[in-house]
Amino acid sequence: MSDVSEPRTSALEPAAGQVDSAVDQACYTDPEGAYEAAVSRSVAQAGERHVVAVAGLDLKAPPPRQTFFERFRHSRRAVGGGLFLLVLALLAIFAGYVAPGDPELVDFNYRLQTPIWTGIDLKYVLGGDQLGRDILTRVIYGARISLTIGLLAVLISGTVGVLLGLLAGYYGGKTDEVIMRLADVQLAIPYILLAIALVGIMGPSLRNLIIVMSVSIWMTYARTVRGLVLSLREQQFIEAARTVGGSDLRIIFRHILPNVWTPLIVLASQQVGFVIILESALSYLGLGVPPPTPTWGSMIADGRGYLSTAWHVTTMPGLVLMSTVLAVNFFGDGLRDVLDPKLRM
Amino acid sequence: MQRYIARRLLTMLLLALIISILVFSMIHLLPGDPIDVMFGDVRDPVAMATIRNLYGLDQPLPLQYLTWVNNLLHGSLGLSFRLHLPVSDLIMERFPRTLMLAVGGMLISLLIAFPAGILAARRYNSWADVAISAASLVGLSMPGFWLALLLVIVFAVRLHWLPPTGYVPPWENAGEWLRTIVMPCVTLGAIMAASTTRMLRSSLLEVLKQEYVTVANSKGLADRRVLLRHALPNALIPTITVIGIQLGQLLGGAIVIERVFAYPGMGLLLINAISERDYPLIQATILVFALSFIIVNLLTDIAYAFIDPRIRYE
Repeated sequence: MSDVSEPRTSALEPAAGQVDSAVDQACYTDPEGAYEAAVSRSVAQAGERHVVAVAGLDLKAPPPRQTFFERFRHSRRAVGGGLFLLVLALLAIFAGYVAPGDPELVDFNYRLQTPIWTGIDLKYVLGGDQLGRDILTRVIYGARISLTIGLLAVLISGTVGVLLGLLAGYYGGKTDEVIMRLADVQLAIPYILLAIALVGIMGPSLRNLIIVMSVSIWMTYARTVRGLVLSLREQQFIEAARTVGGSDLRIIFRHILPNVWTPLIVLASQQVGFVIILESALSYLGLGVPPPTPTWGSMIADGRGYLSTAWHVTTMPGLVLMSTVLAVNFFGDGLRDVLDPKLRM
Repeated sequence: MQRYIARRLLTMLLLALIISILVFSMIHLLPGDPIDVMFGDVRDPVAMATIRNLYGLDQPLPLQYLTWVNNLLHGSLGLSFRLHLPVSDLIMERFPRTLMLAVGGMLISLLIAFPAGILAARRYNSWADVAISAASLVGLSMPGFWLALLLVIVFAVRLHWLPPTGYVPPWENAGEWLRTIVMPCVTLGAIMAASTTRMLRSSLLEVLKQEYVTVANSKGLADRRVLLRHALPNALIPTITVIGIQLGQLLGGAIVIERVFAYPGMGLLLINAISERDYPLIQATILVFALSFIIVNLLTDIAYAFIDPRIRYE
């Protein structure tokens, strides 16, 4: 039973001494195996007793992987959101084979062509834009930009932010002071403002956008991780690791990092949706990947001049964008419920 | 409390100084030259050098920065390269308009979020709760500028109730003014309401589970009184944090929304300033945004102390 509920944890508290010794034992007999696997699945925010209790219990628990997928499968939201994203990613990757047309093919015969369900013409499923390009094809190709930026920016900013947060939290003192003041300064500037200024100055390109997005959100991770590390640093299992001669690097990566994974994965999954929306806003302002490459934000902007005659040009890409972010949020919420029921809203 | 506020104001000045240095170096060190932009294809080296000298752009960077700070301390934000107007005049004209959008958006979001969040928490798991939760998730997943365009399609293009773009000062025509700012405010408010509702709902649910609420209920107090007098104040702390963060981001979000409605506020000013490399204007707008953001954070922290008397700042 890996699903440790509150009452069980608190029931264990009086007997904490026993659990402690169980952990100590695990620490000495098998310092890298069972003990670490056990600790890694405990909720990092929980207090010392909680961690110890979960660690103690988990020694007899079934392998974590199985239970994770088991629980994941039962979360309808997570599965639904995940499937949507999977299909979208496959469409984006194989856009050359699955898209009905060419995203940059201009055909003025189909200029502002209404979508298929209006029954006027059946060639373009979601209609044509102001240059007679197929909106469906462009939406599929546009997914490449949104998903690439969303994933890479979260990955890069996550790595940088987590590293800085680990350093700040573990070493404290001057390191902490410098990193966290930097985060404070950046937090004082609205992220969209910073992104607009940076892209405006660096010039819009896929590479620059990924850099700018990563720069815009690293401090969320740094602050989260730092907070978690501060409470973990004082706990007994870290002290134990230090006593048996673990180096700082080893303690940070083998003992602390596994304990902060869960909230980080949840945070990262939420940030993907945020980055996709931010990218679309920049694209809308003309600061995204430059045309003719289709991006959802610029497609929405394309329709601005035709709101009265052809509103589908603006609404269709927006609908896809919204559904994607919704799927990301569903997936993130589901993941949170599975990994970390305590955070459930 | 006074000492706390004084200390915070001091940190605020320090933060503003660091931000100004960062913004200054960011703008000047990254590629893009305002004189190049100004001259376009007409490349006249003599004239370009003259202009460069006129704006002090031929000076070493640290000196340029010190000049800028010195002018700032004397109450001058410099001249805009492109508009040839004092930057402070431009900001004095534009900032209140953006502030109006932010405050209007804030009010609308509170008007939506409070009833919705309370209703959802009170009728937990009912159809109303499910509907409200779903709506706020949709709101969280929607880009503001797209919602703005949808509103334009419905209320301006189809129904002809509201003008799609533009701005009329309130002292010229109050009715028209209201009609021009309704859609931008509703857009900002709706997006913001989504996260506030979620936060209020979840923190209320958390509070309603606690023992003192059970005690209040068993004393025979009316549900309404338990909710409003006992539970709500405690649920407000996390909610206010979210509102504070949002108000700051709202100022940022207004940049994009202003573009949709061609609303002549700080956002449009900044976007144009960036595309034209108008250094003094970019520096000043970002600094003003950052300062308002810091002030909002300070006000949020002070608001905690008023709502929860247990919070004391020393």
